Amino acid sequence: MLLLSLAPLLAGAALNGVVTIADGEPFTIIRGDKLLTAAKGAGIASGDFIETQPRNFVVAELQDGSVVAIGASSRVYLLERADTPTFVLLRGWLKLDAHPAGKGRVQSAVGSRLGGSTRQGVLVLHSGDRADEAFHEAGAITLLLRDRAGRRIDRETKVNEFFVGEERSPVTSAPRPSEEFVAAMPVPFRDPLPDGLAKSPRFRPNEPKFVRDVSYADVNVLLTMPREWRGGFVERFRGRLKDPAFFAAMDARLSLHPEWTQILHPLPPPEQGTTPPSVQPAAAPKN
Amino acid sequence: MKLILKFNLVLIAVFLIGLASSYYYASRLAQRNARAEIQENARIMMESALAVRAYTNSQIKPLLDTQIKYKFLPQSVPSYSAVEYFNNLRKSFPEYSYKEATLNPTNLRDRADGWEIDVVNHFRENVDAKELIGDREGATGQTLYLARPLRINDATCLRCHSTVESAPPTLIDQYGAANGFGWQFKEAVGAQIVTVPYTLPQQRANSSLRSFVYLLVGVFLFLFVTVNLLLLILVVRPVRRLALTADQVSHGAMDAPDFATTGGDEIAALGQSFNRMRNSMVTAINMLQE
Repeated sequence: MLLLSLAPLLAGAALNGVVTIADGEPFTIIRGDKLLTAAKGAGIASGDFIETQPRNFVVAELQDGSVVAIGASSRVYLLERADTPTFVLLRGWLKLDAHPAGKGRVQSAVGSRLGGSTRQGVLVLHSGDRADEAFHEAGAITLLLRDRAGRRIDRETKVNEFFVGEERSPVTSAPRPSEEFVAAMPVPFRDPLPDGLAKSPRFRPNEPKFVRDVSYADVNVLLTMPREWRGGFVERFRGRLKDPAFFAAMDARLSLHPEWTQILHPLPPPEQGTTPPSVQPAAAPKN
Repeated sequence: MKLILKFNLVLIAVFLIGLASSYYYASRLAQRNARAEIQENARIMMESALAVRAYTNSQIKPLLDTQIKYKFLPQSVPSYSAVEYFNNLRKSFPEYSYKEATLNPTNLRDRADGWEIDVVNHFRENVDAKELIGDREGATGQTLYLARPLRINDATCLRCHSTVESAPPTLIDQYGAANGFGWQFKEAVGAQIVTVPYTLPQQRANSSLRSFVYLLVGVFLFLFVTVNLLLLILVVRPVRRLALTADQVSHGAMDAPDFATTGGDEIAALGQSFNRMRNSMVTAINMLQE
């Protein structure tokens, strides 16, 4: 798999925005170690993990004027500790209209196989089970890629160019999106994303509602995503280890997130001279 | 020949001449107005088409620009909107038609046929021609056509019509790569042609003309009866009575009653003069007898 390693980019850019459209049922946000339900008017920020329902269509306006839309049954992580504000699409559909006014910093939207960054452009990204697809709708986009050796091979793209990144295959491009891509894409993605809704006098902020503390099942997808994106999770979810069910689930799948080994099974202080617990080294995360 | 008969014959002759000349001029005027109305209708339809085109270009197309990247929507094309608008209009006015006849169209329903090719070629050969009006015999009778050139004055049109490579891929998906390319800037690629039937305006003109004639005949009949009555009451009858009195006096009936006069018109003055003349004649005769 061509893993998109964004480590060189990551180092501290915050994403802040507000949901201006939320069609369908409430969607969920994992913020910190809390599971929340959200609707129109909810704020979103770096570190949030957004999961939409099968009938959801969510649009959020960011502080810098960019607009992002998330399709139904999608999972999006707003990368924390990133140099470039980055949307990580773990599943589903995302459309990013970066800085329509032409001012602002570079933003990225990435899947596990390919992604794109733009200062002013429109990118549609789809992350499926077997492939990621990206469509350069407008503006200037840089496709974020790595070759088999892990070297960055980013390239500038042309408007209307369409890319498919499959497991263990080179990324392919086409001068137009495939029919399957267009047919599966959320219909509202065909239009420009509406902006300025958050400035409407009718717009009302609506705080997300607390549901419960997260379970392991809630955050499993976060904990097992590529390691470069998992920064800060130990501090974030450490408190949940007090929950025996969480601890047990985490322990059972420790090989998928080995950075938790020391947390779950800390080595005894060397001066005590005791034998360390029999914890096998965890396998490297599957990329 | 009696006075009233003479009078009526003259009156009828004058009326018939007036009616014939009025009919002739009114008929020509009605035909001219009908043609002007037809042309006006055609112009209104042409301007409607242009308005729909402008609306589509300025308001609909920008809304659909993004969608065209995914699926070509003909609703974003001004000519498509104009033709669709008229197709709806034709449900109520089937005799009217509008076509954006093009020599090399993207959408084959716009291809120029038969006489339309001549119209398009007229504009291609006459760069300054702005409009062409003519008559032709159509399936529904005689029609007037009004044509204006479809000239490529906006370079953005060439994005879809210059080369296959520069056209949106979704347009090629929809219409193929065989037609609608190779257009040149400032070239007259086709003509907007509105055809309007003569039938309806002509029927209206004929109906108006008939009404005018009926009105004219009605007015004449009213005047005819009125004038005859007045002539009978004010002239013929008093003159007959005066003639009768004169006859009696001339036959020696000196005791015949005076001619009764009322009012101050010419007949009354004549009667008074007659009575004076008769009185003078009676006095003169009596003096001679004495």
